[in-house]
Amino acid sequence: MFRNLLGIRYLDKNQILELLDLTHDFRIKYYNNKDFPDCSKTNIGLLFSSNSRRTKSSFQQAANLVGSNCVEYSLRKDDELGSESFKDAIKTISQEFVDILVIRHSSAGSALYTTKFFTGPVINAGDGNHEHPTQAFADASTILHHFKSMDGLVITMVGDFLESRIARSNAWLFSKLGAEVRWIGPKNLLPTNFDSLPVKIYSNLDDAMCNTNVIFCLRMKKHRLEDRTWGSFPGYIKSFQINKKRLKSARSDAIILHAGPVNRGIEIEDTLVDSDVFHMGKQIENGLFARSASIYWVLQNKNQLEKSMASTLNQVEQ
Amino acid sequence: MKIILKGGRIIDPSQNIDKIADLIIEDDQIHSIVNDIDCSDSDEVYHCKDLWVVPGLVDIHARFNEPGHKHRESILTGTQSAASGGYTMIGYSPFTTPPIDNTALINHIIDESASPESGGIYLAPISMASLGGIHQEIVDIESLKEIGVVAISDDGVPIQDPQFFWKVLKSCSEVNMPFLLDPRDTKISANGSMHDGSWAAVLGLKGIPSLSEEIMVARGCLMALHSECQTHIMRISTAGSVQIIRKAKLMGAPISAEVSPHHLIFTDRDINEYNSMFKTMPPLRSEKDRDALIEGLIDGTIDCICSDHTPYTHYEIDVPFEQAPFGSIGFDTAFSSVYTHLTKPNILSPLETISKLSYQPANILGTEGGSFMAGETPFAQITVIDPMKTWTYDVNDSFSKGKNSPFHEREFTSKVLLTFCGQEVYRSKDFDPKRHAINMQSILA
Repeated sequence: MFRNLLGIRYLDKNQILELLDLTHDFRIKYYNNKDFPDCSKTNIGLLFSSNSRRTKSSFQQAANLVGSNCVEYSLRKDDELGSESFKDAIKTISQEFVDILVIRHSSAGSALYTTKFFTGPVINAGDGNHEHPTQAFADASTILHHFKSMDGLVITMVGDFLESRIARSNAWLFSKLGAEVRWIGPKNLLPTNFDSLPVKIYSNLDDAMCNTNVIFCLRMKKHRLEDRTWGSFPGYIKSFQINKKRLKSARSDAIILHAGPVNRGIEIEDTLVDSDVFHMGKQIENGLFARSASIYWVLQNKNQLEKSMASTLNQVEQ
Repeated sequence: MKIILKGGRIIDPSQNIDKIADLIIEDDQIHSIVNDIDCSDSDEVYHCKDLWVVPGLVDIHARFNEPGHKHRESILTGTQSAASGGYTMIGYSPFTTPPIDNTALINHIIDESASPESGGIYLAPISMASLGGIHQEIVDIESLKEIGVVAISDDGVPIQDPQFFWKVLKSCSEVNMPFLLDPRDTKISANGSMHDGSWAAVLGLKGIPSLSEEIMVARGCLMALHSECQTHIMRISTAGSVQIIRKAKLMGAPISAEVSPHHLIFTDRDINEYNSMFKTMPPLRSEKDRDALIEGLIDGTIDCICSDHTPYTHYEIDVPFEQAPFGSIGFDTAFSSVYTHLTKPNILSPLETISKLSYQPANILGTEGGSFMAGETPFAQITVIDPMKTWTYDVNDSFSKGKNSPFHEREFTSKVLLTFCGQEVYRSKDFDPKRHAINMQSILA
């Protein structure tokens, strides 16, 4: 029996806590030189059909931590032979002794679609603008490392929400664990209707920052630099850039997270990126543990997982 | 040859008839409606007790994909599917490859319509408004009208340029030719794959705003008013469009409008987890929009119901949602879905139902159909329906090559049993000759 990891939206609070506990557990193991669970007999297929800056290498490294083997796949478009359909590509991968398929694809819902044809667990590494669950675990784990509990926290996300799977996954995760999630950004980069999302929309950054524990900057994508129909960068910086002055509106112990990579001087003031309140380095590190945990989690059924976690925690305590 | 449909509930909106009577067909034409006729001198008698006998259904436009994409639908499979859904007359959409824009292609459709392949279904030819559908040169509307074209359209390739659109409407108006408008601003709707509502935000899909339709409906209404061109607005989907059309009709604009059954029944939420069977153009909208469409249908703002038949094969739709094509097949389910969701719960009366599915569409196209008035149609067009029959639709049983339907595995009340197109008669597998046919040795044998 296996599980898929397709999106935070599909998980209940207990499942989220299971994965966060595992992520925490793996981090402790790493820093205490303890062995990770052995997944050395697991072949992981990495099918990345749209651009990935860091997620792919993060998954490769995460697989190394649990001893798994990675095989890379791509969707080829061959002019002479014609392009293989997505469905056939998945069926082919299924026949090649791949145990877990990690998929990045430009279409929202493609990870869910993949489960129809892949015979093992599927991990969503980003499906269009829908979800990016392993990144949300990395981000939540970073917040929990600092604040211990998500309950009652105010998390303000700033930037481009229209094309952000990270914003969606994080909104679901933070809210399911009891945090208040605020979104603020240019009107052209926000969804028209957000009634079904667990967020509050703000129109003034200073209002949104009030009582905030965590400020989460979303990346301004490269094509926004070229396609300027959404607004102007000077206007964006004036209204939405996180700087030292604005940080004062937040709580005194507030931290800043970023979906990465950073456009210094646009989403965030340059000097803040190098300051102690900026936790992106931790997010990247936690990304490895969250992805190792995800690989382990999708292979386990609930009982096995509980047993294994109990023994791990005993080991660490000893 | 004399055929009698005996004792059925005859519903003919053109004469405001809704009564139990006998319908007499002589030499493939409607002869008369009478009470309790003696059947002894007839060649065939269909016993229609508890059945509806209505004028054959009429669809203003439907996509057959011939020429160009016969793997999706051909005239043979499309007309078989149409007959099984009770249709006897279909406006043949010019959205083909190449588009239907000249006399040769129109003549081909007319010839195919008259051939045995089409099973007697009348395929009313519609021409693309511009040569090649690229909206630079207007087609020769006058010549096309002479050979039988019933309307001009921009179906599938909506005209964006207001100046070109204005010229097309004036040209149509000049020769009294109806224009069928595809109301979509392709820039505002670009790259969208579902309604721009709260569910699109959850699924991470780019939305198609209601504005992309409403701005073109408003433009179409105003241009129709000023050009005096009879303009029919195809497939409306938003509450705003209903309001605009209602006001434009009050202003005297010569317009009519239609809606598809799926927009009257489903909403964007039915897409659920990326179900591409529900990916339509225009997209399924919100509950508020659906309610406004039903209200518009009841008060006459929306004149008729179209099938929106747009077939795609199974392999074309079995892809991730964003890559799937827009559209659904509709002939098989149009009547049963409307009856189940609107007529049975008394939202539409039986007369209104048949009017929206037969009389009004025929009227808008200016063709002879949708009526039992003697001499009104060149050949008898009749649909016989069992309003009590419950059944579950399986898209794999369709005659259509298209396998994209949001109604797959839905239960309906009412089913088409017989479709008469002149000499040709389609009989559903649910038609029981032992129960319904008398003096029909050929069928019983």
